[in-house]
Amino acid sequence: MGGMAEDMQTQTLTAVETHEAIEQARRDVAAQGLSGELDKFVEAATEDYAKVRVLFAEREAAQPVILAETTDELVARLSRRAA
Amino acid sequence: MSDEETLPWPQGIGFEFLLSVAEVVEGDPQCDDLGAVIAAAARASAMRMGRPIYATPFLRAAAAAITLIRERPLEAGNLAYGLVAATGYLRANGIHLVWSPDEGWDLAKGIETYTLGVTEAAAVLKSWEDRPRGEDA
Repeated sequence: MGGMAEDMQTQTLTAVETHEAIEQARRDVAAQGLSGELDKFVEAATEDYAKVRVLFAEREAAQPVILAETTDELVARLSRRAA
Repeated sequence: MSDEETLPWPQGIGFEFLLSVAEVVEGDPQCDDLGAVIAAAARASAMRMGRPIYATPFLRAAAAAITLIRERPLEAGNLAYGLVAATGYLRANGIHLVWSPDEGWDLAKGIETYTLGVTEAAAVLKSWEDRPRGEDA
């Protein structure tokens, strides 16, 4: 099952890789002359996130996750993070 | 999907934009399924025969939110991620929204539990447009 779990993994981005992907995305957006538009979008989303952050964190912690991971998925995810 | 089949920003919702919003989520969660982020952008900006599948910004915002919330690309925080990607997109396009955190929660949970589809979620977002302050309590 270990091999199968590995075969079933999606392409994952670690936090560091996500930052690298975001930097690349920003360069792509800048090349299109849309940096200001990206900043506006992220700024608006950041403000809205600040507005809901506490309430969502409290309520999500109090509720069971609807789509729970299987044991294989959990082991695979933790193995990826440990690698 | 070719560029001709997706709406360019600001009408469409770009992958780069959604990826940047993921960075906003507290705890800096790992992106476990990048394909879901790409799918959300592609879905919200999809075109067919020269016309957008989702004809209004509210429908495009709802389509992105639904894909992000149900597919759960991040290891945590997907409800808030999907919600603020939608509201951020609308606000960045000059649409003024007035809504409360409780209303945001209800929308996100309605999407997650399949109570709200694209048209229903878009209608909720539209109902937040240009409300007088005080209706978002």
